[in-house]
Amino acid sequence: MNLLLDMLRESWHLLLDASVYILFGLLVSGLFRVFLNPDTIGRHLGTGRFASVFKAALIGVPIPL
Amino acid sequence: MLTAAVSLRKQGATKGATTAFMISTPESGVDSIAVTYALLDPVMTVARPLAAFVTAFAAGIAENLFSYRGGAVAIVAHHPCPVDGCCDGRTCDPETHRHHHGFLEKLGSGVRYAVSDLWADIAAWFFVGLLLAGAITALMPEDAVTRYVGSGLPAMLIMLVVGIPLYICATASTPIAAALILKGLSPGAALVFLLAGPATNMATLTVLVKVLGKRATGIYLAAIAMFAVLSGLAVDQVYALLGISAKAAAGQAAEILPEAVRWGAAALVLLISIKPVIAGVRGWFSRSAGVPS
Repeated sequence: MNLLLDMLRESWHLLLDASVYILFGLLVSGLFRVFLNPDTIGRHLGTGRFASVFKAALIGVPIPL
Repeated sequence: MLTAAVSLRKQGATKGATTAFMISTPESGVDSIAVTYALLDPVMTVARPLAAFVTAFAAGIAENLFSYRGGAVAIVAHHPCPVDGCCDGRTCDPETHRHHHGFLEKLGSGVRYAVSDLWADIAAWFFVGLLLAGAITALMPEDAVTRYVGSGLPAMLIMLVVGIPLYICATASTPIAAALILKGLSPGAALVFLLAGPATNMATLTVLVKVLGKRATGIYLAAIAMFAVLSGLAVDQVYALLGISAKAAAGQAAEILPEAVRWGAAALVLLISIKPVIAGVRGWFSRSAGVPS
């Protein structure tokens, strides 16, 4: 029982540490969604052999899925 | 993630670009970058997106070396309305459409998407990650990592074997990595887990074979494994050079925030998690083979 409480306490500490940053990350992600929709980025990639890959790799970094 | 890949291919993106997008998107995102800063440290906060980018770029280039056919395929613009779906993006004039919605309307729609779509997908997994991290911290013997996982390359290979079949999204894997680092796992090995865990699982691999073919899927998997380990080795070097202990640095970012802000934010996160967590748990029990998109 004590171990279970310890476990929950540790999880709670992590949640306290992470929450502000989660909310911030969600807010920015939401803005990305409106201004840079993954469904529409095909248009920006072009058909270059290397440039399209570079752009796709770069655009994917901030987009969460 | 998988629907995005299908959509990219349909829009005429090269196979290499699709492969690259399929790697950097799950391995890194604004949300996981923020959580990495909170629970780990600045070095990992930079290393994660950087490694994701390099892996994605290398895999995409490798794929395009095989499959590139020149610019024969026309890019088909697909620009559906992200605010309320008032237009399907094919039949309406892009210039008119740009002015359909005001800034506040767009902002509102972005926040709604973040809470009711994005976090709804992540929440249940994130709490699984938190509970696992709590279990690791509270239940795992202090010497377990040094005794069974070790350090250096062997530890990274173990993390690779654990991470590849596992489905855990980038945000949810972060508390687990933090707990393992506090038990003495090297930051490099933790990074391998953070890269390989979210990028691959059995279900996505099966779909990838259908969308991109066997060779591209092979390249995808090989690039993730290889660059995850290379990134891990590089990151361990960076920590050694800077003289930083990942164990000591983990979670410092949140310590500076006032207690009231941390509790308020945690309450808000719990509040927006109630619905998705209930739905997620229900989903897991009703179909045991449930795999999120």
